[in-house]
Amino acid sequence: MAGSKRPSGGILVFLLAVALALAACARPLGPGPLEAGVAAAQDDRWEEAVRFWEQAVARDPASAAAHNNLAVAFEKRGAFDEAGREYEAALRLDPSNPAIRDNYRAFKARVEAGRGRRP
Amino acid sequence: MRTRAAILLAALLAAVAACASTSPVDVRLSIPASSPFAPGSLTAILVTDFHDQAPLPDFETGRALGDQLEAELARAAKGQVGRVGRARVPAVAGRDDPAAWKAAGEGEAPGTVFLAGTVSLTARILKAVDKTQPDDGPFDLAGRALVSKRRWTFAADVRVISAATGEALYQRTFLEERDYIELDKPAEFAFHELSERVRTKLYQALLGTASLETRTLLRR
Repeated sequence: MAGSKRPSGGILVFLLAVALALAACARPLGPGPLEAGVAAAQDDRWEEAVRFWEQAVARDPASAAAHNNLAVAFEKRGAFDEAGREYEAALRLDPSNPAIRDNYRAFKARVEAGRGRRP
Repeated sequence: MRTRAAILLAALLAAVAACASTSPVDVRLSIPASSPFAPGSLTAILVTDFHDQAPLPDFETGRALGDQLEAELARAAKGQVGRVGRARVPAVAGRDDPAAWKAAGEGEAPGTVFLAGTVSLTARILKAVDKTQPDDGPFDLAGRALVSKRRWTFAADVRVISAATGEALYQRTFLEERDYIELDKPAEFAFHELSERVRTKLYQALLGTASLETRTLLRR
Protein backbone atom coordinates (compact mmCIF):
# COMPACT_ATOMS: atom_id res chain seq x y z
CA MET A 1 0.00 0.00 0.00
CA ALA A 2 1.11 3.52 -0.80
CA GLY A 3 0.22 4.89 2.70
CA SER A 4 2.50 2.46 4.51
CA LYS A 5 5.46 3.25 2.34
CA ARG A 6 8.59 3.87 4.42
CA PRO A 7 10.67 6.94 3.59
CA SER A 8 13.61 6.11 1.44
CA GLY A 9 17.12 6.03 2.87
CA GLY A 10 18.03 9.11 0.82
CA ILE A 11 15.29 11.19 2.40
CA LEU A 12 16.28 10.06 5.87
CA VAL A 13 19.88 11.04 5.24
CA PHE A 14 18.73 14.40 3.89
CA LEU A 15 16.52 15.09 6.92
CA LEU A 16 19.31 14.09 9.26
CA ALA A 17 21.74 16.31 7.42
CA VAL A 18 19.39 19.31 7.57
CA ALA A 19 18.84 18.74 11.27
CA LEU A 20 22.58 18.60 11.77
CA ALA A 21 23.10 21.79 9.81
CA LEU A 22 20.52 23.62 11.91
CA ALA A 23 21.75 22.16 15.17
CA ALA A 24 25.34 22.97 14.34
CA CYS A 25 24.69 26.64 14.81
CA ALA A 26 21.51 26.68 16.82
CA ARG A 27 20.20 30.22 16.81
CA PRO A 28 16.90 31.92 16.13
CA LEU A 29 15.83 32.18 12.50
CA GLY A 30 15.49 35.99 12.55
CA PRO A 31 18.31 38.27 13.72
CA GLY A 32 18.12 38.63 17.51
CA PRO A 33 19.28 41.70 19.40
CA LEU A 34 22.77 40.25 19.67
CA GLU A 35 23.26 40.07 15.93
CA ALA A 36 21.35 43.28 15.30
CA GLY A 37 23.79 44.97 17.65
CA VAL A 38 26.76 43.56 15.77
CA ALA A 39 25.29 44.81 12.50
CA ALA A 40 24.74 48.26 14.01
CA ALA A 41 28.30 48.33 15.36
CA GLN A 42 29.72 47.31 12.00
CA ASP A 43 27.77 50.22 10.56
CA ASP A 44 29.35 52.51 13.21
CA ARG A 45 26.02 53.00 15.00
CA TRP A 46 27.41 52.16 18.42
CA GLU A 47 24.72 53.76 20.57
CA GLU A 48 22.11 51.67 18.78
CA ALA A 49 24.33 48.62 19.21
CA VAL A 50 24.43 49.23 22.95
CA ARG A 51 20.63 49.32 23.10
CA PHE A 52 20.43 45.99 21.24
CA TRP A 53 22.98 44.35 23.50
CA GLU A 54 21.26 45.66 26.61
CA GLN A 55 18.10 44.00 25.29
CA ALA A 56 20.07 40.82 24.71
CA VAL A 57 21.32 40.87 28.31
CA ALA A 58 17.80 41.54 29.58
CA ARG A 59 16.52 38.53 27.62
CA ASP A 60 19.40 36.27 28.55
CA PRO A 61 21.53 37.48 31.45
CA ALA A 62 23.74 34.42 30.97
CA SER A 63 24.79 35.51 27.47
CA ALA A 64 28.55 35.93 27.63
CA ALA A 65 28.50 37.28 24.08
CA ALA A 66 26.12 40.10 24.97
CA HIS A 67 28.24 41.09 27.97
CA ASN A 68 31.40 40.94 25.85
CA ASN A 69 29.89 43.12 23.16
CA LEU A 70 28.62 45.64 25.69
CA ALA A 71 32.12 45.76 27.17
CA VAL A 72 33.58 46.57 23.76
CA ALA A 73 31.03 49.34 23.24
CA PHE A 74 31.74 50.83 26.67
CA GLU A 75 35.46 50.68 26.00
CA LYS A 76 34.96 52.56 22.76
CA ARG A 77 32.96 55.16 24.66
CA GLY A 78 35.80 55.55 27.17
CA ALA A 79 33.61 54.21 30.00
CA PHE A 80 36.36 51.96 31.29
CA ASP A 81 34.75 51.06 34.63
CA GLU A 82 31.59 49.76 32.93
CA ALA A 83 33.68 48.00 30.29
CA GLY A 84 35.66 46.21 32.99
CA ARG A 85 32.49 45.06 34.74
CA GLU A 86 31.01 43.70 31.50
CA TYR A 87 34.21 41.90 30.48
CA GLU A 88 34.39 40.28 33.90
CA ALA A 89 30.75 39.18 33.66
CA ALA A 90 31.43 37.70 30.21
CA LEU A 91 34.48 35.85 31.50
CA ARG A 92 32.59 34.47 34.49
CA LEU A 93 29.96 33.09 32.12
CA ASP A 94 32.38 31.71 29.53
CA PRO A 95 35.89 31.63 30.98
CA SER A 96 37.41 29.62 28.15
CA ASN A 97 36.16 31.78 25.29
CA PRO A 98 39.34 32.91 23.48
CA ALA A 99 37.78 36.05 22.00
CA ILE A 100 36.57 37.29 25.38
CA ARG A 101 39.92 36.47 26.96
CA ASP A 102 41.82 38.33 24.23
CA ASN A 103 39.53 41.34 24.48
CA TYR A 104 39.90 41.47 28.24
CA ARG A 105 43.68 41.06 28.07
CA ALA A 106 43.98 43.98 25.64
CA PHE A 107 41.60 46.07 27.74
CA LYS A 108 43.52 45.40 30.94
CA ALA A 109 46.85 46.20 29.31
CA ARG A 110 45.48 49.49 28.14
CA VAL A 111 43.95 50.44 31.46
CA GLU A 112 47.08 49.47 33.38
CA ALA A 113 49.29 51.50 31.05
CA GLY A 114 47.22 54.60 31.59
CA ARG A 115 46.25 54.26 35.21
CA GLY A 116 46.09 57.88 36.14
CA ARG A 117 46.12 59.93 39.22
CA ARG A 118 43.09 61.52 40.76
CA PRO A 119 43.27 65.25 41.43
CA MET B 1 25.20 5.80 -2.92
CA ARG B 2 26.46 8.69 -4.98
CA THR B 3 23.22 10.61 -4.22
CA ARG B 4 23.65 10.13 -0.48
CA ALA B 5 27.22 11.41 -0.64
CA ALA B 6 26.06 14.49 -2.52
CA ILE B 7 23.34 15.16 0.05
CA LEU B 8 25.78 14.82 2.92
CA LEU B 9 28.22 17.15 1.21
CA ALA B 10 25.46 19.72 0.67
CA ALA B 11 24.43 19.44 4.31
CA LEU B 12 28.02 19.89 5.40
CA LEU B 13 28.34 23.02 3.28
CA ALA B 14 25.07 24.31 4.73
CA ALA B 15 26.35 23.69 8.24
CA VAL B 16 29.59 25.55 7.48
CA ALA B 17 27.62 28.45 6.01
CA ALA B 18 25.30 28.53 9.02
CA CYS B 19 28.22 28.57 11.40
CA ALA B 20 30.11 31.19 9.41
CA SER B 21 27.25 33.63 9.83
CA THR B 22 27.62 33.38 13.60
CA SER B 23 31.39 33.55 13.71
CA PRO B 24 33.04 36.32 15.75
CA VAL B 25 33.56 39.68 14.08
CA ASP B 26 36.72 41.71 14.50
CA VAL B 27 36.17 45.45 14.68
CA ARG B 28 38.67 48.30 14.67
CA LEU B 29 37.86 50.83 17.36
CA SER B 30 39.06 54.29 18.08
CA ILE B 31 39.39 54.06 21.84
CA PRO B 32 40.04 57.18 23.90
CA ALA B 33 43.53 56.90 25.30
CA SER B 34 44.44 57.24 28.85
CA SER B 35 45.69 60.50 30.19
CA PRO B 36 47.84 60.96 33.30
CA PHE B 37 44.55 61.26 35.15
CA ALA B 38 42.02 58.62 35.96
CA PRO B 39 39.12 58.74 33.48
CA GLY B 40 36.42 61.13 34.59
CA SER B 41 38.47 62.44 37.48
CA LEU B 42 39.08 65.93 36.09
CA THR B 43 36.02 68.06 36.67
CA ALA B 44 37.46 71.52 36.05
CA ILE B 45 40.63 72.98 34.60
CA LEU B 46 41.49 76.49 35.69
CA VAL B 47 44.14 78.06 33.50
CA THR B 48 46.44 80.66 35.01
CA ASP B 49 48.70 83.23 33.43
CA PHE B 50 52.07 81.58 33.01
CA HIS B 51 54.98 83.16 34.80
CA ASP B 52 57.11 84.87 32.16
CA GLN B 53 60.80 84.23 32.75
CA ALA B 54 62.00 86.43 29.91
CA PRO B 55 59.53 89.32 29.57
CA LEU B 56 59.48 91.02 26.18
CA PRO B 57 58.83 94.74 25.80
CA ASP B 58 56.04 94.31 23.28
CA PHE B 59 54.42 90.96 24.06
CA GLU B 60 53.06 89.25 27.18
CA THR B 61 53.97 85.63 26.51
CA GLY B 62 52.63 84.19 29.77
CA ARG B 63 49.26 85.85 29.47
CA ALA B 64 48.97 84.95 25.76
CA LEU B 65 49.65 81.28 26.51
CA GLY B 66 47.03 81.28 29.26
CA ASP B 67 44.47 82.86 26.92
CA GLN B 68 45.17 80.32 24.18
CA LEU B 69 45.06 77.35 26.52
CA GLU B 70 41.79 78.46 28.06
CA ALA B 71 40.09 78.96 24.70
CA GLU B 72 41.37 75.78 23.10
CA LEU B 73 41.01 73.49 26.10
CA ALA B 74 37.37 74.49 26.32
CA ARG B 75 36.97 72.88 22.89
CA ALA B 76 39.51 70.07 23.18
CA ALA B 77 38.31 68.90 26.58
CA LYS B 78 34.62 69.10 25.75
CA GLY B 79 32.90 66.05 27.15
CA GLN B 80 35.94 65.10 29.20
CA VAL B 81 36.18 68.04 31.56
CA GLY B 82 33.16 69.79 32.98
CA ARG B 83 34.54 73.30 33.08
CA VAL B 84 37.51 75.17 31.72
CA GLY B 85 38.00 78.62 33.16
CA ARG B 86 40.53 81.22 34.08
CA ALA B 87 42.18 81.49 37.44
CA ARG B 88 43.78 84.81 38.21
CA VAL B 89 46.47 83.69 40.57
CA PRO B 90 49.56 85.49 39.30
CA ALA B 91 51.08 85.62 42.73
CA VAL B 92 51.66 81.88 42.78
CA ALA B 93 51.98 81.22 39.06
CA GLY B 94 55.13 79.30 38.36
CA ARG B 95 55.95 78.77 42.01
CA ASP B 96 56.39 75.30 43.36
CA ASP B 97 54.52 76.06 46.53
CA PRO B 98 51.83 73.50 47.43
CA ALA B 99 50.51 75.55 50.34
CA ALA B 100 49.99 78.61 48.11
CA TRP B 101 48.21 76.55 45.47
CA LYS B 102 46.08 74.81 48.05
CA ALA B 103 45.02 78.19 49.41
CA ALA B 104 44.23 79.36 45.87
CA GLY B 105 42.11 76.27 45.31
CA GLU B 106 40.03 76.64 48.44
CA GLY B 107 36.33 76.31 47.71
CA GLU B 108 36.83 74.72 44.31
CA ALA B 109 34.93 71.55 43.43
CA PRO B 110 36.65 68.17 43.86
CA GLY B 111 38.58 67.21 40.75
CA THR B 112 39.60 70.79 39.98
CA VAL B 113 43.13 71.42 38.77
CA PHE B 114 45.18 74.48 37.95
CA LEU B 115 47.15 74.59 34.73
CA ALA B 116 50.15 76.74 35.47
CA GLY B 117 53.87 77.04 34.96
CA THR B 118 56.59 79.17 33.48
CA VAL B 119 57.23 80.31 29.95
CA SER B 120 59.87 82.12 27.97
CA LEU B 121 60.12 83.34 24.41
CA THR B 122 63.60 84.43 23.41
CA ALA B 123 65.36 85.30 20.17
CA ARG B 124 68.95 85.45 18.97
CA ILE B 125 70.60 86.26 15.69
CA LEU B 126 72.55 83.52 13.93
CA LYS B 127 74.95 83.94 11.03
CA ALA B 128 75.18 81.23 8.43
CA VAL B 129 76.69 80.74 5.00
CA ASP B 130 74.18 81.52 2.32
CA LYS B 131 73.58 78.19 0.67
CA THR B 132 71.49 79.73 -2.03
CA GLN B 133 74.66 81.11 -3.64
CA PRO B 134 76.57 78.94 -6.17
CA ASP B 135 78.89 76.48 -4.46
CA ASP B 136 82.49 77.02 -5.58
CA GLY B 137 83.92 74.42 -3.28
CA PRO B 138 84.52 74.18 0.46
CA PHE B 139 87.55 76.49 0.44
CA ASP B 140 85.97 79.38 -1.33
CA LEU B 141 83.96 80.72 1.55
CA ALA B 142 85.33 84.22 1.10
CA GLY B 143 83.24 84.79 -1.95
CA ARG B 144 80.05 83.59 -0.30
CA ALA B 145 77.78 85.80 1.67
CA LEU B 146 76.68 85.22 5.21
CA VAL B 147 73.00 85.42 5.96
CA SER B 148 71.45 86.34 9.25
CA LYS B 149 68.61 84.39 10.78
CA ARG B 150 66.64 85.02 13.87
CA ARG B 151 66.11 81.95 16.01
CA TRP B 152 63.09 82.09 18.28
CA THR B 153 63.00 79.67 21.19
CA PHE B 154 59.83 78.97 23.10
CA ALA B 155 60.12 77.10 26.39
CA ALA B 156 57.23 76.19 28.61
CA ASP B 157 57.27 74.30 31.86
CA VAL B 158 53.67 73.19 32.33
CA ARG B 159 52.27 71.88 35.58
CA VAL B 160 48.89 70.48 36.47
CA ILE B 161 48.28 71.22 40.12
CA SER B 162 45.59 69.76 42.32
CA ALA B 163 43.35 72.47 43.75
CA ALA B 164 42.62 70.19 46.70
CA THR B 165 46.18 69.47 47.79
CA GLY B 166 48.35 71.97 45.93
CA GLU B 167 50.54 69.12 44.68
CA ALA B 168 51.81 69.03 41.10
CA LEU B 169 50.13 65.99 39.52
CA TYR B 170 51.83 66.34 36.17
CA GLN B 171 54.78 68.28 34.89
CA ARG B 172 56.38 68.50 31.50
CA THR B 173 58.83 70.84 29.84
CA PHE B 174 58.38 71.76 26.20
CA LEU B 175 61.00 73.39 24.02
CA GLU B 176 60.39 74.52 20.47
CA GLU B 177 62.64 76.49 18.13
CA ARG B 178 62.36 78.00 14.71
CA ASP B 179 64.59 80.11 12.51
CA TYR B 180 63.21 83.04 10.58
CA ILE B 181 65.03 84.79 7.78
CA GLU B 182 62.94 87.88 8.34
CA LEU B 183 64.77 89.44 11.25
CA ASP B 184 61.93 91.75 12.09
CA LYS B 185 59.38 88.96 12.48
CA PRO B 186 57.34 90.05 15.51
CA ALA B 187 57.42 88.02 18.71
CA GLU B 188 53.69 87.44 18.49
CA PHE B 189 54.07 85.68 15.15
CA ALA B 190 56.77 83.37 16.46
CA PHE B 191 54.74 82.73 19.59
CA HIS B 192 51.70 81.58 17.63
CA GLU B 193 53.74 79.21 15.49
CA LEU B 194 55.80 77.74 18.29
CA SER B 195 53.10 77.57 20.93
CA GLU B 196 50.86 75.68 18.52
CA ARG B 197 53.31 72.79 18.57
CA VAL B 198 53.45 72.89 22.35
CA ARG B 199 49.68 73.02 22.70
CA THR B 200 49.14 70.05 20.44
CA LYS B 201 51.55 67.96 22.48
CA LEU B 202 50.09 69.21 25.74
CA TYR B 203 46.50 68.34 24.84
CA GLN B 204 47.55 64.86 23.81
CA ALA B 205 49.41 64.42 27.07
CA LEU B 206 46.64 65.84 29.24
CA LEU B 207 43.55 64.46 27.61
CA GLY B 208 44.99 61.40 25.97
CA THR B 209 44.91 60.60 22.29
CA ALA B 210 42.61 58.05 20.79
CA SER B 211 44.21 54.99 19.30
CA LEU B 212 42.99 52.27 16.99
CA GLU B 213 42.57 48.86 18.58
CA THR B 214 40.99 45.62 17.49
CA ARG B 215 38.29 43.92 19.53
CA THR B 216 36.10 40.93 18.79
CA LEU B 217 32.32 41.01 18.83
CA LEU B 218 30.43 37.78 19.34
CA ARG B 219 27.25 36.75 17.58
CA ARG B 220 26.32 33.70 19.63
